[in-house]
Amino acid sequence: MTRIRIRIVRRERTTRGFHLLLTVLSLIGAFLIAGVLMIFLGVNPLAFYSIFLQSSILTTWGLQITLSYLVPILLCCLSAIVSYRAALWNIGQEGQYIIGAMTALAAGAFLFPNVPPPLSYIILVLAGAAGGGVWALICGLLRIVSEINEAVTTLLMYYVALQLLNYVCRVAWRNPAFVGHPETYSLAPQYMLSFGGSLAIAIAVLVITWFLIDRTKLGLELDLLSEGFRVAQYSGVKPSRVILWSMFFSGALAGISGALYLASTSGFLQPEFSVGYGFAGIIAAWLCDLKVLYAPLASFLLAMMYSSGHALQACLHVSIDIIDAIEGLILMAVLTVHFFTRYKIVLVRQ
Amino acid sequence: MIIADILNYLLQLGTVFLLATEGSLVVQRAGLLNLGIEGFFAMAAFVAYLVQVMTGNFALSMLAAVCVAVAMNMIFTVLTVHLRLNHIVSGLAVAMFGVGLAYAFGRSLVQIPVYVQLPVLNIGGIYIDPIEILSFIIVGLLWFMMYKTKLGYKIRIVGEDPYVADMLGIDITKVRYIATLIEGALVGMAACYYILVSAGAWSEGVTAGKGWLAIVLAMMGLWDPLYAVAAVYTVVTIRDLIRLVPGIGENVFLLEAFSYIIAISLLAVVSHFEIKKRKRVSIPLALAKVYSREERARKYT
Amino acid sequence: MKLLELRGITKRFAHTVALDNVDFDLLKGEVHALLGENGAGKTTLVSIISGVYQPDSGQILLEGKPVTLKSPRDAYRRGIVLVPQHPALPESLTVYEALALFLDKSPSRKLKTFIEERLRKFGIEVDLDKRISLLTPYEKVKVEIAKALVADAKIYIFDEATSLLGHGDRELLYKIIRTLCAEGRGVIYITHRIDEVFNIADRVTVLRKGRKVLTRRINEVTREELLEAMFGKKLEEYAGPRSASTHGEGLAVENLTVQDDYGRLAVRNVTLSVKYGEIVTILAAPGAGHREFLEAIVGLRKPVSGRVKVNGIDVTGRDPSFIRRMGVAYIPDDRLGLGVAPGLAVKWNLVMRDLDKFTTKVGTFHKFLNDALVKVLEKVGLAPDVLPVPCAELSGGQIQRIITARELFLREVKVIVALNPFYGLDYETTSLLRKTLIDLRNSGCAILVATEDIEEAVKLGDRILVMREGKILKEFSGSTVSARELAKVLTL
Ligand SMILES: Nc1ncnc2c1ncn2[C@@H]1O[C@H](COP(=O)(O)OP(=O)(O)OP(=O)(O)O)[C@@H](O)[C@H]1O
Ligand SMILES: [Mg+2]
Repeated sequence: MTRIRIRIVRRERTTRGFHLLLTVLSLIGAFLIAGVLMIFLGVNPLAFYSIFLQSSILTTWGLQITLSYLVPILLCCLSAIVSYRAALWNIGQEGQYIIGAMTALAAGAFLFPNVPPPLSYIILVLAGAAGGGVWALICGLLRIVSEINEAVTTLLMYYVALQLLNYVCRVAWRNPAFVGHPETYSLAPQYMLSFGGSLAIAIAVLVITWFLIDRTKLGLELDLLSEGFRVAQYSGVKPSRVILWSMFFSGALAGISGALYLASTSGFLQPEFSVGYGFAGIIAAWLCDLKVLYAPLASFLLAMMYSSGHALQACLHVSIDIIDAIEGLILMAVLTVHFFTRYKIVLVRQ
Repeated sequence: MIIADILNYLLQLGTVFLLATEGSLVVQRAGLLNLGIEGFFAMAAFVAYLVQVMTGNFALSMLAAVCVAVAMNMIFTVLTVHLRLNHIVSGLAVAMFGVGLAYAFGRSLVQIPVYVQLPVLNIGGIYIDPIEILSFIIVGLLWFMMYKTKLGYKIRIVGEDPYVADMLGIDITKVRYIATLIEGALVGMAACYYILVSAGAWSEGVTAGKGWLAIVLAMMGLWDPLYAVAAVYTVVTIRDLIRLVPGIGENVFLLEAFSYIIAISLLAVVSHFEIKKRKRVSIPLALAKVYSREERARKYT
Repeated sequence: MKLLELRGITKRFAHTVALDNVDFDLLKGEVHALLGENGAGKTTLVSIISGVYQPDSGQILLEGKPVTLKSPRDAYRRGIVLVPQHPALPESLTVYEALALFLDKSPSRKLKTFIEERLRKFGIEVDLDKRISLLTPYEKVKVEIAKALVADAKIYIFDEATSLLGHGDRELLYKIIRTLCAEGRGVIYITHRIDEVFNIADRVTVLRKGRKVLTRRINEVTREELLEAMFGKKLEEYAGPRSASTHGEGLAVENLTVQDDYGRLAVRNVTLSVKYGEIVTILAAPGAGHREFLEAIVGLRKPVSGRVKVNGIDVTGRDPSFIRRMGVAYIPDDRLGLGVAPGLAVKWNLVMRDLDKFTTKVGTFHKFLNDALVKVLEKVGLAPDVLPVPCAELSGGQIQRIITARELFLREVKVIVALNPFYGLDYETTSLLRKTLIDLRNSGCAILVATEDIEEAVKLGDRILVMREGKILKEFSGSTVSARELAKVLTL
């Protein structure tokens, strides 16, 4: 009697080209799966995808919007990569993003409003980095001192940041000129950035991060920490020092993300400033397998999802929530087929 | 009388979080970091509301909510246990999907209030309904299960080190499914209770943030069913009492920020004395790690 | 009657073919020994028998019937239990709770009496109420053996169970195995100690690079034949000359007192010195404090009091990387837990202790990194294609070679400290490592080796110290002492 059993087998080391082919095939598979599911939700998948592409990359305007979303998502993605490489679970990028924007605003609107341009941009980035960095550093300290898991504290600190954002918008820094909607004072004009400018800074940050993480021993220190305290110590890495700097670095990246987004959009804060780029960044980080060089690609995919939302809503006459649901589906499908790039299914005859 | 009102309010809210938190705690103990709760809390609440509007039967609504939550939770388990995918992304995807679906469907509903009045026990002005009592019974049962039964041992070992569990002959997949089942059921109950008894109507964003908070509360309770009660009621009390302070106006945000800082500080203190001494608490060391028997060196994903 | 039969088993991993068309069988009431060099595929084979791995092809027959063993639980239900090479026990439970869980029973009085009975029958002594996280590696091995024995199985598999056990425990294990066989059960026994095979095995199978090279009855084979089957070429014992000349004090320890992980005093006021050009071995039973002693020397543990000097410079309480830069090598025995970072590629495991040498001032890695690494890999007999492989995917012996390469050849070392360096190593790797150490001694290194193996202590040491309960009991000269004499002191 022969029986057939299904076994999941890890793929052996594949060539780069084959891997790329698999990835592309899987993405196509993912969009097909999601398409079928869309039909059940009463949405025409062809219309969905054509609008999705048009509104996110095929028109200049759409592409510009996508790129503007790319900047914050990419930086939060880098932030996630830095901490996850060290097996530190910073999931509070969103909070660090808010705080980074707040410190940038404090610097650009209140502390140094009269600084001329090149310097002002440096201040902007440094202020954002300091704010986000310190916000995450607190969690790193708590980890060292009382061994609380940083996943808990970073998430709680996100709530703190969210409440503070509300507070500064409505009370502390509220601009009385806006009557209806709670908004803060604006950055001084020489702090404002064009989309291109913020993209350029983001790319610079990407390159610096890549260099530090992939080309210097800092990356190895992160990896060693993720292998456990004892090995780290044996190899001359001081665990607490690495925890502190990597949390700071991670938070700083998310902070810069907030500062840049602030300076390249309205220039003032409002309660709606937090729209989830931090969480998008986390997703992107896992989609690119924590590889800095692939971070732009993964972040771009998420940015496309963000930028096409409104167009989809308007053209398909559906609510924004259904778009969210579909994007959740696409993500699940992408994940599922991601599985096939790592494993193959074999039938075993017995 | 005001005090009794406040207590009633806190008890009601506390019950919602307690049920959801205990649920999250069980899966986390089995090593799954399920960030999808936000999604199936929303879906379960929506379905409970829908069934209540259509049938007017609370028990039926509860059953429907539990079923939906369990079913949606299975998506997460399939993704992480069978397809060995990253817990965080899978969870976030389920959360996006669930929240999106719930509110997309919910938008088309007429949002009539359907407050359900459960029979209550009146103890000096404090009304206690059956679900509130049930929530405490569940805490007791979970505690017993976790520390006194075979299943509890299995759940803990699977969360601590799946490889060891495997070598001990524990069926990891089965244990993780049971844990997800428990979580789904408890979160479903919480969602149903919340929407029908506490909130009383479906509206835009009613469930927002409930799931996230449950996850954090489970961690704050150091993954222990009893400590979780303390975590839930401390946080709920601090967070929601502030809103009741008269004349607080927009300063509420600052105070709320403080309430989280207090929560973090409390956590720091408890953790300092408990985890460091490793007295009774053990922690799910394998939380969010994907397990695959034949691969010894899987770091990420 | 055949209890178990494997036909044409093949198993591939991402980087290796671990088993290539292997046949194997086990009869009722026999001990079938499995031999092979490090990485030969022994652990993989028994993992397949115990349901941990699934074969890519081939057939498994249990008492004549074909079966698939889907998981360790599945194998256990069919009467197969494994004592794994690396203990895998739930740290947060007590020994008793772990055993109960293994038997899939709820803890109860009756069960406890049952377990106690059963262990008494075999004469195994373990403290059932102790937390597993508090056990030493040696005690964990005993718990693993106890775990297998409480189960009423048909097939018992011991994967290098005696590597960490002392003399007395080994004798006990042989007795247990004989009892099991007398009851008609089968035993598969993996070891690197060839003498053991002649002592207890009925048949022996040798694996080499994933292929079966021989299966014989034990009385039809000689020690030399086995060695040749395992390693291909005829090997020679390398002893090297005894130390010619010593000079200067390489390592000096004064009145060192050290605590173990649980705050108990493990080392009490030990004074010792190692000169350049000599090998000092510390012989100790498991848990005698030698582990803590060495860890305190290399900076992994802060001593309570006392001094450690390397080349005359006080390094007490400095961190491991500082002491490393002073030219000290440390070879630990906890390979996966401390010796390497299992998830990282071999390449990074090689450079991790000497980052200062491999990086520029700004922290970037030197370009010629790979060439240097290939060269040291050659010295320990590994091919350069292991560089990108994560250490966890290597066999125990391969990992030991990586550690040796890193500690001894990537920096000019003057002082070498090693803990149980030969445990779990095959014959070839053992000779290689011994030769390396002796060569380094002859070129003027000060070497301190702590070991639990009397033979090794005698073969290697110019001076031999016996340690018990954190104190040095006695000192012997390596050239005059015999193994028997040492065994007497050790088991006193
Ligand atoms: N899970 C795994 N993933 C990848 N490679 C593996 C895995 N397990 C074993 N290998 C490889 O298979 C080969 C055989 O390994 P195995 O552990 O069976 O050797 P062994 O004979 O037990 O050696 P040792 O005496 O050192 O324990 C080795 O080259 C090892 O690198
Ligand atoms: Mg082995």
